[in-house]
Amino acid sequence: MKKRVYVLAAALALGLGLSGCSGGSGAAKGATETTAAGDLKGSEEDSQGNPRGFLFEANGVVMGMNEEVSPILSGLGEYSNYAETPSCAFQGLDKIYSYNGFDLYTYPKDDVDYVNSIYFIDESVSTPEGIHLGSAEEEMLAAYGEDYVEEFGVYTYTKEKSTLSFIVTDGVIESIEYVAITE
Amino acid sequence: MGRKRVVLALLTVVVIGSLAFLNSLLKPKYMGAIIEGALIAEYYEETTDHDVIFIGDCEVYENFSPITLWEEYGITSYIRGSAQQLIWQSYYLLEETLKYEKPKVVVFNVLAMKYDTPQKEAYNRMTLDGMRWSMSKARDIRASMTEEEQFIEYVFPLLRYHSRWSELTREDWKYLFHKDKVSHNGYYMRVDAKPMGTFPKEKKLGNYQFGSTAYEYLDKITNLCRENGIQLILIKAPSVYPSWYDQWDQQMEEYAKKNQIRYINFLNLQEEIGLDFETDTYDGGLHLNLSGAQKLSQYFGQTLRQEYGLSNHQTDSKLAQAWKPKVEFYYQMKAEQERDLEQYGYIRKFHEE
Repeated sequence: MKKRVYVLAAALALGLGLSGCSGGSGAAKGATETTAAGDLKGSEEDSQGNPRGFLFEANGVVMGMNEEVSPILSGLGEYSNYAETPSCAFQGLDKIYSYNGFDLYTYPKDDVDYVNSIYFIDESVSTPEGIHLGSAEEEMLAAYGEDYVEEFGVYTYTKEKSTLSFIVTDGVIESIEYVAITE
Repeated sequence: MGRKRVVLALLTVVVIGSLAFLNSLLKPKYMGAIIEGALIAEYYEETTDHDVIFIGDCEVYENFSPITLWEEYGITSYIRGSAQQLIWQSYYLLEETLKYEKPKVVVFNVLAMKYDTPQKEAYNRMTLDGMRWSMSKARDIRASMTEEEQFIEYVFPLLRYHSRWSELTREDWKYLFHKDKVSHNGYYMRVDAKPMGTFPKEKKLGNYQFGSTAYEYLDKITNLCRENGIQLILIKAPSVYPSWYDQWDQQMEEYAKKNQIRYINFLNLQEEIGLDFETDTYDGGLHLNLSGAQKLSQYFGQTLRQEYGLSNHQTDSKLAQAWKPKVEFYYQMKAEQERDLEQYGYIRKFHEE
């Protein structure tokens, strides 16, 4: 009988104890840390403290995934188009800024916008390694090597919290996209 | 011995009561700006059956108005929609719904075909936490969980939400034992308008083929409807973003033809419906506002009436009695939102955070 009492008491203590834990947030909210963006060119970490992954440069601004977008936007200057895409249940806005040659997608976390992806829209921009829409598959392999995952003609390279994907059709690169790994 | 039993019984009641209380307190209430997590549970308050059940994501619960279908055609309907509802969630919601009623028509929005694997816990929770416990819910959880999720955390939400103790708001206490009604038979109302802008260039995909899991559950929905004598209609709502690729549309056309079911792509019918994306959307073209949802429902109601033979129930006194307060609530919310728009330029409920 005593054992049963102890078990019940322990269950209550566990319940109360759990409610008293500190730490992660609920499912509907993300993590809470936010830091200001560092020097984009010099920093080895992104603005969330992670090692930087793949980088892209435009208008003299170097940018990586998961980096705070505000200083990047300041450096890039005026965009040609802006769109907002609220998700199914409104939890902040995903924003899309269009610049010459690429679209910059952002995601919100704790009232700060971060880089979610960069998608090339024409041949006027290249990766820092010289690959652009229309480049040959061989050029991609020479620049990024063989350490990729290929599925349905999509070659995906992973570096830290970012991926760089190329869609290759008949040996020609048709799509280039940097994407943040957020999970 | 007798005294010990009494103590044990009391302690049991205290422990269970405390855990239940903490569970209720710490679970998200979805009564503020994000109400989507409250939609699924509202269905259980229904007292009458429905001719039409909609299942799917925001493209159903923000684009169709059951009140308009009732007022214009006397058609009874309910939207069992939820945020980013995945196709297996639609299937299990339908399976569960059929334990309560047998509709004549089921409408499924096919945008969910683009997902073949579990996506995000936050969205899973908005669909699953509101379901009553049943085998359908248990199977739904198992099909939906991401790698980081645990089944036990759905059984005892306290295990997942315990860390919310430091984030509790007035809302958590206010809605501890009851919730306000937020939808109109599953419809999420917005009267504000934001004209459609220019969306970014459509991204190329490596593979446009819908996944095998998505097809497996589409087959299950089709078969479930067939076994129950329900007419299934596949639709693509007229939301212009995210992209609905031609290759996807083609696959749905072929599926519908092969299975002898109807597929309606409302994106191709915007003019016939009378949709004006300058005035009929509240978020730039992703979802319709009330004006757009009423137009779409008026159009779709004709199809349901003429091609599916759904009759007008307005003269049925029991149904008329059940729908009267729904209609009143609808116009009350509409008036409140319009008042907010006039006074503040926005709807306060959706700008409180």
